[in-house]
Amino acid sequence: MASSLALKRLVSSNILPSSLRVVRPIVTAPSTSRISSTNAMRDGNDVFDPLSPTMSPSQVVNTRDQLMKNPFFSSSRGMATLAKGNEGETGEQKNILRPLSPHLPIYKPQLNSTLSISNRISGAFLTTVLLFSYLLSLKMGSLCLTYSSFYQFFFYSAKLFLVSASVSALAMSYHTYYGIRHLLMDLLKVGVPKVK
Amino acid sequence: MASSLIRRAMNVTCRVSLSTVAPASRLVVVRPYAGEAEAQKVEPKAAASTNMKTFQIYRWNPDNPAKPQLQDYKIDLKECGPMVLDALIKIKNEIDPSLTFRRSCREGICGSCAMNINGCNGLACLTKIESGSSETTITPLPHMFVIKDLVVDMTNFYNQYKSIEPWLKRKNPPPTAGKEIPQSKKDRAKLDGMYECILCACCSTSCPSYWWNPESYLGPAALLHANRWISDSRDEYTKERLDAVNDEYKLYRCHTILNCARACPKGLNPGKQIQHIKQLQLTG
Repeated sequence: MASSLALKRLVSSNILPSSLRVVRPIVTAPSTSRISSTNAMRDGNDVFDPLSPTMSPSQVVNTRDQLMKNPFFSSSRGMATLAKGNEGETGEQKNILRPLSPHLPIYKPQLNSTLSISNRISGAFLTTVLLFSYLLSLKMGSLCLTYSSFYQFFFYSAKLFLVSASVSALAMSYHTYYGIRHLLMDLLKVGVPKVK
Repeated sequence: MASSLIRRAMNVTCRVSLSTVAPASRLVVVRPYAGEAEAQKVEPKAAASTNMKTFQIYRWNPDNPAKPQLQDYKIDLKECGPMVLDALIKIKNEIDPSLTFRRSCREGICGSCAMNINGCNGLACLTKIESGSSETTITPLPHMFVIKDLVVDMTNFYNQYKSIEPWLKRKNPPPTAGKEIPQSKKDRAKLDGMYECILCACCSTSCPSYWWNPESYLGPAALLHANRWISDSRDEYTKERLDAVNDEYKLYRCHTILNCARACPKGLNPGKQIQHIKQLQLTG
């Protein structure tokens, strides 16, 4: 699945000419044909993973528009590719990319979802602080001796240490409380929020 | 007020053409319906006796694919029913016939009109229009492929529901042959809160976990139905059903975000049912 994702991303970039786009439905069909419908043709940009920035529906369609206007091929050749795509599939629907309806930008944040994402953010923050401080404390000496700018930075930002410690204490306490609440909810059904 | 204007306009045109029009078409003309020409004339203007509200509705046309837009429509709430679906139908009848949305029962039992209203998923026929002059934003169900305007592709959702095998499965014939399988009231009460699900997809499309893993995570709706069949005392494939769902992605993408319970228009709690399945996996 990762390889098909990589291929989708490669095909949708401007590097490859559009003639290879016709190959796309056949290549990705085995991995996505069972669940996704024939109508929903997905661009590699539509796949959301935690590392890449999410694209709004307008961005997806815009990317497709930009690909259409690629200087590699004239508009007539682009249209011919589209028509060929028609024949190659069911022959009844147009080969257009459907936008993804907006999700993160428009969904109203609620208490339960905000608490949950704060748990994730605090967990990630604590992990970085832990690993980074460990690495830093190990390598502080050699780092400061080699790069004088780092030494200056750490000297002047030493006062920030207290602030960052209290922020991490806040994150740690929140994460722990949420974890205990999660355990109680799962094992003992204590504190499950009532439905409206 | 708008409908009386239409009626007056119809009467005027009717009187003018009465002498020249054939009897059959005379019957057609007199009926006060908003035809194409009449629709162009209806322009709601803010006056002392009107209560205007702006609706921002997500539009995208597959025939002219461009950037999806939010289009503004002004509606006089005094001439409109209380629910968002009434406003949508009024817009489609009087202002813009090309607005596309699914609807059927208009009473909250079919689940067709599920959409995102002011940031929360719900059924348009059950969501009251907010009073006050703030704009109402209507977008399709989140993170689904848009077929046109507010209509989304639900194929993946239905396939996931199918995959949990939502029917009674037995290994042995019923205790009294030819008659129904008996179930006590207590056992039947275990199904309350799950059988009412109308598969509107409000819960699944409100779950951020489902947004990021739509094909591998089953989603709150399918898992609620999985629990409905797992908890059914008449069903004898409980262990197999639990094993089928016991997957890193199918079940455990749920992180109890509980957006689903907030979004359900029927007041169900899919998060609670998912916790029940997880508990059964621990103990069973």
